[in-house]
Amino acid sequence: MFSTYVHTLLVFLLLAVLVFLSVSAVLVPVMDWLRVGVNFLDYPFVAVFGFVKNFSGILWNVKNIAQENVLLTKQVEKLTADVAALERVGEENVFLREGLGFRTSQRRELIPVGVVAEVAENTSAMDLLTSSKVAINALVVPGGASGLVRGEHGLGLTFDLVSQNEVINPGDELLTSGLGGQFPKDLLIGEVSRITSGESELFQRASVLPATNYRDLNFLFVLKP
Amino acid sequence: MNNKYLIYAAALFLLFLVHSSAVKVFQGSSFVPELLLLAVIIFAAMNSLPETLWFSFGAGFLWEIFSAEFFGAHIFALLICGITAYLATRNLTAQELAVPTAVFLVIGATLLRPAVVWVYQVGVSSLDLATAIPVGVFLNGELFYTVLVNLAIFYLLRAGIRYFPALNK
Repeated sequence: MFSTYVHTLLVFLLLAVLVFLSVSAVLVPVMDWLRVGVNFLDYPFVAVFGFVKNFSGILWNVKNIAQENVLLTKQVEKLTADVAALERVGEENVFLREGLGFRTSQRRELIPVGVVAEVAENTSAMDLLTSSKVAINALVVPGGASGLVRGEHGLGLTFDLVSQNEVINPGDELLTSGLGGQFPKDLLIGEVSRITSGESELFQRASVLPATNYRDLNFLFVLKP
Repeated sequence: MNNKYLIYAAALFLLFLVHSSAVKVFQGSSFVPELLLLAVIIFAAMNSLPETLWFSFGAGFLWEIFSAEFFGAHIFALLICGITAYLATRNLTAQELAVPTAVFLVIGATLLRPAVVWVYQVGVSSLDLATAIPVGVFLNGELFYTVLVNLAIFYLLRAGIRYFPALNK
């Protein structure tokens, strides 16, 4: 019995000593070395557990893939039904347009390049849209905001004088509005690339990504206003 | 040192490697069995109190290597668990680990260990040696899963010991 008390006392005394050494930071490097040693020794076990963890992860993923597959199959069925319905609506639309005599504008396939400035006997010179001499009335699609597309000294295009009440977003298309009569309506100028004006300014302003590279054109049509 | 102690020391170190590896790989998971705690319970049921004290001390020290709590928390906790398991198997029940006894011991020790660690942390934080950790970090609903996995592994370990007759001397 005495021995048991002595052992109990010794064990708790040793614990107290170790805690004291730990608080005094004497034990810390020893524990660090032990951790490094254990990291080396437990490598095979970590590898095995890592494999088990990854394998269970794969099984879990397979389960998720099966659920995802069911979901996607349902979506495909729904979309197939939607496409069939839309095709029917499209056919009906074509039939109604023909019946009512509607014509779809093809103008968006044409791109304005500039304005003929000088005409000689066999050649002519033109001001590109990027020239600061050219300004076109333009409309934003979607939304219908109107403004003026101007050249930036041969460097690019700016969409300007757009009311603050209108909403324009990067990616919106810019079409000629036909106002002023210089350009026909619905020619594709480009798309809004970035809004450059602040909220405090009177009008909105945006830089425009042209629909084509004006320096790399081979054939042009001349349209008479 | 006789064979029995060598085998126990080797088994304890092996369990420590498995335990620390599992904790490392499955960080934060409640499904990692507390092998060192189970070893202490089994040892306490089969050996004398002085032996149980030193074994618990060794197991606790090994636990300290991969734990983040203030040094000594796990040594203290496993000492308390070892003494409790020893007293329970000598005074409350028969020494043979019948199913109800084993279930009682494993559940009790699984809950007692984090409780003692928390009490220890409160003690050292009151001495300004460490910051206090909320009790919910140690005692929470996830212990239920730890109890289940400990029970399952406990019987595997107990069955494994039967293959080493030297340990039962």
